[in-house]
Amino acid sequence: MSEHGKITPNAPTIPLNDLSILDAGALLRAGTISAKDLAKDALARIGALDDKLNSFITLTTDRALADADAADADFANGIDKGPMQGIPYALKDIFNTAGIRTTCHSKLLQDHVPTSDCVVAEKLRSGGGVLIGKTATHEFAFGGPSFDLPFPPARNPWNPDHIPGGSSSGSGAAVAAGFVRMAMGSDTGGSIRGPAAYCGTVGLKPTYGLVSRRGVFPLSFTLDHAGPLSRSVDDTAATMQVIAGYDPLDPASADPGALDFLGGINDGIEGMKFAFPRHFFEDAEGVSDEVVSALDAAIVKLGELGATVDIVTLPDYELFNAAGRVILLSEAYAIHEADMKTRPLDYGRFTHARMAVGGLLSASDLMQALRVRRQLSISVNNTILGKYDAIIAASTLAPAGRFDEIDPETPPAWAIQTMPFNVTGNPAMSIPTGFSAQGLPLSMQIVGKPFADPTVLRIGKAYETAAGLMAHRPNITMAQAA
Amino acid sequence: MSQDADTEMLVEAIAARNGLPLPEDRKPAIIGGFVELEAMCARLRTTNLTAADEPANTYGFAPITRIA
Repeated sequence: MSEHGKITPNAPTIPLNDLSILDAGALLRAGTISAKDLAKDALARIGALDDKLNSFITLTTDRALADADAADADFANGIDKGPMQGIPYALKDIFNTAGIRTTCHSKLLQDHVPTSDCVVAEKLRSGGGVLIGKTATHEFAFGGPSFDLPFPPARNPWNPDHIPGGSSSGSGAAVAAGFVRMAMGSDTGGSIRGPAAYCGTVGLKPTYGLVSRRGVFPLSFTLDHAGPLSRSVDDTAATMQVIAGYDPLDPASADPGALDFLGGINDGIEGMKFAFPRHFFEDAEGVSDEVVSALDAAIVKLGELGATVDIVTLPDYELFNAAGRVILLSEAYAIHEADMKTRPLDYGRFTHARMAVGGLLSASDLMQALRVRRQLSISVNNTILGKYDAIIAASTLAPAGRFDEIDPETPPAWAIQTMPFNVTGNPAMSIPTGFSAQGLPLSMQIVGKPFADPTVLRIGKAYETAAGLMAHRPNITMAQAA
Repeated sequence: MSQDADTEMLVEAIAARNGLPLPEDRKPAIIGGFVELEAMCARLRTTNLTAADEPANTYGFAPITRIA
């Protein structure tokens, strides 16, 4: 290793934070760089730049250096724990970490220090990963972005005047800023895919039940998914290789057998068939012409890669949204009911206003939503994905909004179409499709069959490679000066 | 009485019945959210469900009985 975080002499001069997980892994195994180099570089970059982005709530510096030392020792002894060994990563601050505070970005849990790791943290730790810190979130993965919480909201590295999306806001910002290649998020209605879309990263909501939720603070039991936000599709696949797997102690965990997320990722999409429900977004309120144009261009690109794309009709988007919202609000309120009754003012204003509405629903409302949910799942999976390999859809309908557009009295509602696949549980990945005239990222969703997450990654990799967008990075220094 | 006043009374009544306090300065946002949610609940009832259409989370013995 040379100074200034550049690799020499056995590799091209690439900033350490620009190395993919797989490339960094190869260099770590060759002894060209060390895990400690990577950890120190990440910590230095965060120390220099995060004061304007607020992507981290807690930096775990001592833990990171200890993890890095352990990874380096394992490399030296020929012990290989998989693709995350020696790689810096972050966890959204709703993922329990033993001995490290896990606040849910809330006054209610400001000093909460769990005694055990969540399953994902445990898997990343035993896989040799290097925990850099805990990232900002909307309060309890729900409210926000808010300014009345113990920690400031994360900001978008492409322009800090803009939101990074939520609720995995800090994870999206941290990955886009190049602080870590991967940060874990959770997705109940779009909280991985939204920040990924607004921040220009890849964000995978895996199939429901594929990644354990045990030890992740719940928002809505039947809609919650844990998954990675990362810099590239390869990074996402490498992470999934470590974190996916059956957990008998998570009641929703599924056992589809061992999935290989990296194996077929470069096989291309020649001959695949995609469904394109254009009606979902083309007339939706708040849709931007730039998003539509970028999606149409992406469809052309997929065709050039050998896939066929048919325009299809799905059930009304608003029906998916209604079922999802009613389920989410009912389940979230049930989780928070005691605190909502006894200490409502300890919640941020937006979280409280959203959560309280769940306390006004009837049992019948929830049951109707659950009955509709089954019909919608059948429609997506039997009718559409019975004929097609994947659905291509919008993720967000417009580039990231501005902080100063938020009415301080009313929880904001951003134009985003991710909820349908929380309702159905299908794997869904947001991937960049270009940039707006203002230089903000645009995106699309790739939605697969249940447990066909490797196929979603394969499609994403083919598109990502052809589109050539991943070389674009936010100019953080310039953003700071703005 | 106006529709807005009716809605406010309805929200206050349901909240009181459920033991949910409504801080005065947060009430307008909650009422606004309730109105949106009512429209969503009405939409859910426009589908042609039959008596036999079961909910998505119909009780499943094996996963329910998993314990730590």
